Amino acid sequence: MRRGTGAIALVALLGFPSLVLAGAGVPEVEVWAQARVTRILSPEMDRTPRVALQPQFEVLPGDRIVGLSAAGDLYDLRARKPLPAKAPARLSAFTADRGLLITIRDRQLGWYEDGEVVDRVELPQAGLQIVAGAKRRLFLYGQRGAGSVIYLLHEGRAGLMVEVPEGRISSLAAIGERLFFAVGNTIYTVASRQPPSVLFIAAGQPQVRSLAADPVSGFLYLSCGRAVYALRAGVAVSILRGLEGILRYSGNALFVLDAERASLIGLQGLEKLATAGGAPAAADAPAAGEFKE
Amino acid sequence: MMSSLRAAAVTATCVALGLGALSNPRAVEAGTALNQLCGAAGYGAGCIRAFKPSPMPRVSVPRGSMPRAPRAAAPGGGGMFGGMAGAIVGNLLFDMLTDAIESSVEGAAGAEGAAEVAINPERISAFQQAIQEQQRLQEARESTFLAQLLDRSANQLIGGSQDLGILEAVRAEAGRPFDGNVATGPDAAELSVLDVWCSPDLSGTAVAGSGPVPVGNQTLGQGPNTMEPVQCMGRLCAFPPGNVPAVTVRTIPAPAPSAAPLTPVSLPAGKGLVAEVRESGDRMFWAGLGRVAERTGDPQTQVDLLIYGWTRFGEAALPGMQREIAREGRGIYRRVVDTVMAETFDMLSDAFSGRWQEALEQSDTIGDRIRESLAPEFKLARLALSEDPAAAGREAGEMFSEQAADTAREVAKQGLLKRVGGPEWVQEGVSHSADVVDNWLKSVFPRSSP
Repeated sequence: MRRGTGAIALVALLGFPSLVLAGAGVPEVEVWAQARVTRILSPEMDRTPRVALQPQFEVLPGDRIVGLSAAGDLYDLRARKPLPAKAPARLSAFTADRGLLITIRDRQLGWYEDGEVVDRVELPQAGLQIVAGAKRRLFLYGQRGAGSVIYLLHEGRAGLMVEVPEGRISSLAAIGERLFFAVGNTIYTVASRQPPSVLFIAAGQPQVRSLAADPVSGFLYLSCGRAVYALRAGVAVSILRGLEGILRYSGNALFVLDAERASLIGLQGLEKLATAGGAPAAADAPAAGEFKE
Repeated sequence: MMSSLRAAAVTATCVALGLGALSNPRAVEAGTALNQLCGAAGYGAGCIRAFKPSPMPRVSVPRGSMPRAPRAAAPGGGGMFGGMAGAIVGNLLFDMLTDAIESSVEGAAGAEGAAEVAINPERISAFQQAIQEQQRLQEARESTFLAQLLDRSANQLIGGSQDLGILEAVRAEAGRPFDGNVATGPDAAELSVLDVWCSPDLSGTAVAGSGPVPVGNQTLGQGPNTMEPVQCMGRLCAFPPGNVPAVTVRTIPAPAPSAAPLTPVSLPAGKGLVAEVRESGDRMFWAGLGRVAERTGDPQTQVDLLIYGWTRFGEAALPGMQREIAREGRGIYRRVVDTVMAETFDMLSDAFSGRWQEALEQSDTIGDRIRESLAPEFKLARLALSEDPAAAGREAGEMFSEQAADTAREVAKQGLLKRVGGPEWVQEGVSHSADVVDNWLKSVFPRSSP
């Protein structure tokens, strides 16, 4: 892969007009040309010391974006500073439900309030991740033995929802009454009153790292290796290459965090994937998006 | 207004944490119940308002932040509440309004909030109705698009796979990244079409009865109800005990990425690019599924997966030995067909010659056996895929014989009913029997029936 000089360069790769952002020491990033791309966090634009991030983040209403530092503290990725904290939070996971930060540390589920984490519910096991779903559902998932489990917490009731005897769930996304989760390079789906099913196999890839869903356009986004794909109608196409992405979809944008490189970008306009008019139109389409410095 | 926002935030927090089965915002009682639980947890009566707001700092948006694109009105949503943000706003407003109602009902610590909200019951009702409508539309929209996502999943793009040649390179392609990222050589241009999307209108028609590939028979919601109340003592609550899952998902073994050299894929000429994209979806899916079938150690899973691919993509979708056996099986089948067709007409001839009583007695028994035999084509496929072509051939012979006998039985019955002989009904019976056999053959091998 080529490296540039720091300027934005427009290239065509495989007949696919892409934008390349390359800078000193910055890996090349290519994006679907019609997407509007915004850099929110990147090493070269951040003059403050880079904070080591964990591969998770949440987008709150108002485009506030919160990540988790390697030490387990909540970190405002836009302001590039930790959230107020009266004591080290030492979180292992968190999610956001309509602006509320729901936290996990050790085996305790709680929330962030006034600079403090209030532990509230003891979880059945440590090491769980958490995803907020529709109608105030909370899904907690993690490894158990050689397999994985998904717990559901809803309206004061909790229980073991899904057991996967073998394999580690690497990511989980919820749309309405349906869950998508990845084990290895395979995406499964479960929904009420339906048998569990395989939705997609990312052939040639070792693992689906992250999933995010746009419930309005119907796209399921997945990241494998150093690429992000949009999946619908059984076809997955790459929309972003060069970032090892943790994905979140919020509002009308897909956010991609490469925690290792402390890089976060937002992609808008992806709904046009559904109406790109097929290959010829897209191939001829001008590059409409660009990275913003 | 701030107090309402605070209360809404706290309500959401408590609900998310399971503190309120409670705070269904549509019920005035919810706030009371929430307060009871919060109080039981040690926060004291009226604890909704004892909470502080979630102290997310108000941050200034730096340059380079996400542009605030004008939000188009969501389809069917209209008004100021469009899309997900609309739903969020709707939820918050709903909570605010509910909180305001609760404040007035409870009459406790609600003066500030009521004064700031300052809305009369009619406006509250109108707001509630608007928000409920917005939520309903949002859910309907999500449901529609979710159905679109699922109903057109990879295994449903059968319409684009009529040409089995497209699948010839399945095995070679198995190790290729599934969007052609690293495509090289003369096919690069073709493969680059995978970097664009095709219109949902061009995605082909979903095949009835198809869907994501099931990996279990258990249905979520039919299993045990494992949801139990969270147990709270003081400020701490605990998950209920219990380890019985509502549903178990048995994963298929994930194949490791192939280290084999990448092989360019030759796409047949003359196909539209969109069709290629669609078919690529099939290939991607099957490439993964086929590799899983190859690598799995569970013979039953392997056979099931291979049958799945075989029935949808034909023998070209099968890997290695299975493909050869399927070819051999089809050869056997064709030879059997020739024989059976000849024997069928011999049997019919016997029946029409007056030996119909014996034929009828025999065909009744055979007919029962055929009816008991579910999906005979799968039986043949199962045998073919089990690397036992001889057994497959025998099975095929039996099936065709049975089918032929069944046909004879039908024709003989027609003869019995008419109790007359003559060239017209004989011709009709022969024609009928030929149709039965032909239809059956088409159902077994839709792309290869003679």
